Amino acid sequence: MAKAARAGAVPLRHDGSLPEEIVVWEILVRLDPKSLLRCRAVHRTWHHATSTRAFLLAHHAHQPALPIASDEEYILTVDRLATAQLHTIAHLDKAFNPEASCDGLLVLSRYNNMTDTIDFSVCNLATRQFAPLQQLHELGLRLLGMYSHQPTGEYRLLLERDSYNETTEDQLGYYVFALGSHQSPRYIGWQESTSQCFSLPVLVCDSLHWYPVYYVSESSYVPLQSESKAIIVFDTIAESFRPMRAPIVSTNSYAFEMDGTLGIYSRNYAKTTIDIWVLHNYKSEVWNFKYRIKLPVAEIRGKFETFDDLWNMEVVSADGDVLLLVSSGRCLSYIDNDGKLIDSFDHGRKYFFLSKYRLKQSLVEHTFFQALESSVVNTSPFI
Amino acid sequence: MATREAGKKMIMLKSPDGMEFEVEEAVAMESQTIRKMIEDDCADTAILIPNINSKILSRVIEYCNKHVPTTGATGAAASDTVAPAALAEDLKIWDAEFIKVNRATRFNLIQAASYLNIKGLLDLTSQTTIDTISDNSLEEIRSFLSTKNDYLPEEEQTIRRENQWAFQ
Repeated sequence: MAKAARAGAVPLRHDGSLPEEIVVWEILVRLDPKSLLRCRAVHRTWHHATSTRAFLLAHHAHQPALPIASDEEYILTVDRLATAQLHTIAHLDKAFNPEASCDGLLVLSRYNNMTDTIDFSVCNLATRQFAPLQQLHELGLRLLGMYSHQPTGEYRLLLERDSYNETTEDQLGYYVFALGSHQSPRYIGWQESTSQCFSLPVLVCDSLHWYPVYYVSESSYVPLQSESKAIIVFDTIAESFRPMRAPIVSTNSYAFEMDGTLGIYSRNYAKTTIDIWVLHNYKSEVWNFKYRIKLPVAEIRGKFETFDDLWNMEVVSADGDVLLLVSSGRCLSYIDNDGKLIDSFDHGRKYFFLSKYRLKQSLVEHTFFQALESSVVNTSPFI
Repeated sequence: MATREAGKKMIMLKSPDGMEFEVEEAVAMESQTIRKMIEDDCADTAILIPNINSKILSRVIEYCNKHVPTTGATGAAASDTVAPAALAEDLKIWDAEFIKVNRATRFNLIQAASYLNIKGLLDLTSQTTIDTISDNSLEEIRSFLSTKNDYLPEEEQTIRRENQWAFQ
């Protein structure tokens, strides 16, 4: 926005060049982080103009929120519009699991077999900053989500203690931990209504949203039911929970975000049909049934021998509409809202795993990295 | 408002080289800059586009004409007969033809789309430039954008070293 004002009514040039403002605010601002860093070596003024906080915030705003995938030590993004649809954004010297994602920051976890605990760390793959979150080690807390706390500008983690460790003085319930803080996670209470199985949170309107999940495996005898459960909402400003009305959907339903709008997709038991609901007017809590998409399973199976029943699916947005991204074995497919297979390819990666997280890359500097002990830049675990 | 009963409201756009273009208000409002002028009531008779010559302005209007949403009384009939997917496909082909212009014209279109704030046109015209910058060497980027290297060799080395991974 406000680009017209920035550029002003500068006369058109006829010498095959572009005014500086246009290059910086219309072209460089849209580059991926790696290309942008490279471009700083093109020209002195480019380096200066692309290092300001205002520019870096605008650059972050232009970055697409892409599904994250992993393949052992590689962290990848999936972008249908890019020349290489699968893009390696980091090669690490160990395999990590993504646990939360917000504004270009990723919280990663790794099982520590020395202490038999899950160790958390935070990183920015674009600035190549990495820091272990040592205060969280051995606390036995479960990470529910990460958010930017608007009143303070801090990045905070929402954590849960759902069972006692060796010490029983720690209360069961929810905790908040600010990245860069030297204090222990702060207890914020416990609510019976939220004692559900949390899936991945969806961040819209300064709130984290979960659709409570029951994991129904293919072999289980628990029938799928249609029912209406409340969505669990965590207000990231007040740091409190509240319920939100949800449509009546099957128990195999998940929340997702599309261009700032909250959605729910639910699949039938046979995994052949996807229903999509969206909440256009957030405050009203009135859900609109948007699509019933029949998956072209036979067609995909005809193309890829590796396609099996163990597929997972993500709803991704494209030009303000939805696309389904289906991953199975080495095959990735895109299906439009008419159920038409519009694109598919074999990525050839053996341990490929499509996560439910999105990454919107950012070169904005976060001061909390400096406050964290053992924080590193551009060295191990980065390769 | 006054001319609504006569059908579509028309707006006059003037280029600095004295050409006048009469376009439907809805078409002109594809430009957020013009939309704001109209909504702020700064557009009674004609709008002067101070920096965009008639050659580029006519191409911009051509783009807006093609991309204005076909809704309302006349538009509904068209979209009843053609499936939205087919329309989108048609637009894509049209866009690909539209952007087959030389570099100087494309740069002019980028600048016009930026000043007039037409998101679709800006996305379309800037993408090839973005791809060129992403895929080429620093020297090729400099030549493409007619810019000179103003770093001392040791300065350039320092910058390369700072972000070595970006050069691999």
